[in-house]
Amino acid sequence: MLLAKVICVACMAQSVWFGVPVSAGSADRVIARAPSATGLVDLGVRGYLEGRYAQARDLLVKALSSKALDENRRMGALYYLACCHIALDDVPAARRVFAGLLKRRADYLLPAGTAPKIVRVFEKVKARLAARTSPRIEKHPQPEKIEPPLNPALENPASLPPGKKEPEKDHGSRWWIWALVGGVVAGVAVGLGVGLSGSGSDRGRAIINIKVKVIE
Amino acid sequence: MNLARALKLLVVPALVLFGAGCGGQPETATVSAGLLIPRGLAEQLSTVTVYLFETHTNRPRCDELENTATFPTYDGQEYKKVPIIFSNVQTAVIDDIPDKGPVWRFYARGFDDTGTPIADGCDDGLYTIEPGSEMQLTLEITALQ
Repeated sequence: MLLAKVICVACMAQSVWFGVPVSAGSADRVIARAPSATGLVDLGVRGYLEGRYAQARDLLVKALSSKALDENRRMGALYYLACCHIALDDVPAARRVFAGLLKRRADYLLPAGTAPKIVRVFEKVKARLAARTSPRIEKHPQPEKIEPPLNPALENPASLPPGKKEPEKDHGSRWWIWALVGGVVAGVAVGLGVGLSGSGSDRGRAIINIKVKVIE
Repeated sequence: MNLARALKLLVVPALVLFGAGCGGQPETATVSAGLLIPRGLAEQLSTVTVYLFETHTNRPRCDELENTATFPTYDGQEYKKVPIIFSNVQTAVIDDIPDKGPVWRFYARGFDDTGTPIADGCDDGLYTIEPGSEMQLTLEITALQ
């Protein structure tokens, strides 16, 4: 009896770790005895690769329900679960799984060699999610002409009553232009002031040339 | 504010500077004064001092300057004067003269080797110097009476 139990356990271990096909009954036993969620994922993946899609789907769903599953294994389980749904012609379910996968990792890339049918479903889901998350750009008709303000107070800020200020503009990135303009204007003012004061004073610019002419 | 607006703001002062450089600085006014001296008198003269008086109500008049009794009253009140030493040069320049406002009178006084005044000359006319103008005048020297 003891020998028979040992042989049974050995067969089950072989089926789990070495890819030996397992029957539905033995799978139930494997599920029941699965030591961890990681083992369930491995069984589910193996079941998918061997064409046992429904069984693999159940194994993967059970594995994903475990919180102990690490992130990489979880991503792989989601991928194979979606593949199982597609293989079972349950595309809406596959879309939901892919959506959950992409919400976890938006830059997820399908493994190389993925079937085109699966790629199409994945790309549609990805495009739909991208459209939802990206800002919506709407085109507004451009106004034909911008009329100047009719209020003279808005045209002449000096006429604004005290307490009302013109809306401030962001000139922070243009400070060097204003500095340059201010420097030039100040230079002009100083130059003109000095020049005009010089020419307006009593110190003139006339020169008297005297030449002696001896006449007979 | 874009770059075009900034450039406009730079162009305006540049134009102001250009205008000031072209029209704001008048050309130097020049007065050419010919000092006419008879040869006989010139041989006796050692120096001639040209006086530039700024007149007020036509004073000093020529008769006041040519009168040896009243001349000392105005000697030293001239705006500028320049001596011409015959043995060395026969030209002189009076510069830094106001080119607007004052009215001028020219007077010349000649001295012999001992520094004694022996001749003079006065222009009855009054002159105003306009900025950038060119004038000519003649000052004839005669022996003191």
